[in-house]
Amino acid sequence: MARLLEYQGKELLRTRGVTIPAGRIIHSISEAREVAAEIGYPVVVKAQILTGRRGKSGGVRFARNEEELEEAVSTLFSTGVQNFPVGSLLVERQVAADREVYVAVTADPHARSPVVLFCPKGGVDIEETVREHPEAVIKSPIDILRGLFVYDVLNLLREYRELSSSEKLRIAQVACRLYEVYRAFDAKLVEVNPLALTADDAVALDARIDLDGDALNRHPELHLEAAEEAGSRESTLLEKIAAEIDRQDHRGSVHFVQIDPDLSYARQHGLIPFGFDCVGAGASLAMMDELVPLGFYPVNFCDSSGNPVGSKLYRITKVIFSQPGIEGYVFVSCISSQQLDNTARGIIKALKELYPETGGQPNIPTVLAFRGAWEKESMQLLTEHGIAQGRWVRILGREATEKDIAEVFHSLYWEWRTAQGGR
Amino acid sequence: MAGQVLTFRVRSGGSVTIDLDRCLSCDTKACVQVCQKQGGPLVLDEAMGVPALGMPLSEVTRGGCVECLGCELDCALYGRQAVVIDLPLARFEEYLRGLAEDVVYKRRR
Repeated sequence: MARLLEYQGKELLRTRGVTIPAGRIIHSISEAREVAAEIGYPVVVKAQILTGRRGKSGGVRFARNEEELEEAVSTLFSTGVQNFPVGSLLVERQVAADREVYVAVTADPHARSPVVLFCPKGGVDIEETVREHPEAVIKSPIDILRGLFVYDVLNLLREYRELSSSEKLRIAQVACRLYEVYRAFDAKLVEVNPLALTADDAVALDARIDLDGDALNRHPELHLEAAEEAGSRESTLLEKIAAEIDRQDHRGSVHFVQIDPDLSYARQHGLIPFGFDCVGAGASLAMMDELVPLGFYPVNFCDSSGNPVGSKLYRITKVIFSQPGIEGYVFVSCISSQQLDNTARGIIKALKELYPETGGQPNIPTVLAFRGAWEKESMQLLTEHGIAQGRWVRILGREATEKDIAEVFHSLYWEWRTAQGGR
Repeated sequence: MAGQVLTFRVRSGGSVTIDLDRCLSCDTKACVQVCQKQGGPLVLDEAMGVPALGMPLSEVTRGGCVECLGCELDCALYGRQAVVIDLPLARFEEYLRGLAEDVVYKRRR
């Protein structure tokens, strides 16, 4: 999935005729002053981050004059929001709304179709509204072959007597435009919350658009970099680099996400950070279940499965080893049918390149567990190339359980650490 | 024949380069042998005593070469170290330059 920042989403909506407030993205106080001078006060200053509940976390501030603007901008840049740094802000003209509503188009796996969603009460309390009054949100499936028409939405809104005919019409027009965006850009969610109903218009005050990450290659015009979903934060450069590996080559996959990019979690909890690669997400979780109680913490998740070519393993192994501060590396395959000797060759080429002085023998505890097709060939290759003989390397085969692998790594780690002087 | 190389691009964005001068004195042709073990159409074959493409270049680039890396690794062990596979990783150097601390493999302990 690729989630767009608010300003990117609004730009897509604007291209389909949805009204958005006047404003611009800024990166400095001087730029903010320029924008405010162009559009006039009062303005809204909004942190461009991907996390939810931004408004309630102080990520949206209002300014009636230049003094308040400067304070809002400097505060957001210096303190960030919800522990996420803020790199850019959207400065917009504040819009006076008569009413705020919620409208969205998303994919409904149960209906197996897109659905249009509407709630007469939009804004920052939408989560509470959904929780306490789920009946307040109505949804209607959209026939993907037929499309969505204004009168479909008008039918949906018929029961809302508090809305005027004019308001219903404007909401319906916006809903149809959201569906256009949904279809045109392979979206999974196109949400406007709130949609401000003014005297004569409907204005998208916020926009959340999630695109299908697997369809990004169909939209080079968006200039978006693909990466695995990383929760509320923006993708790191290393995640973007890893995503490019899959984008270049469809044969197998290397899904890579940094769980603890700056090692802050591991350090805060006294855990030992290590780089991690698994064939199969389930095996990955099982390994984490064994390793975390022993005091280790995987700084990344990586599922290199689907029978990836050796070159993918070469590239992703370099990526994993390039996370600063790791004190070990674990590779584990589930009992897989993929050709593990190609996997082994990728790892061998990477290690030989990263450790030319030792012929590929790493300087940190490294456990490689090959379980599955071509496992014996894989283990033999590591021996032929002299990597298995490394002081800090252990090679395991099909007989090793996740628990065994964790215990071998644990034992090897403390042997290594003692040799390092117990630092 | 001096200075002859065989070079071709692969699907993932990279290239394989083989120094054919070295191959002339190679008895094993380990690169061809390992390529044959892959089971699919042969990418590397032997012609006139040196490795040659066993399929059209367009097929290799489309994915005919499964990038197992066996030609380079086996040549390094059993051949004449004639094969070099270059597999660039976009923006990786930029990433490394931006790090505040050294990556672990640059520490020599």
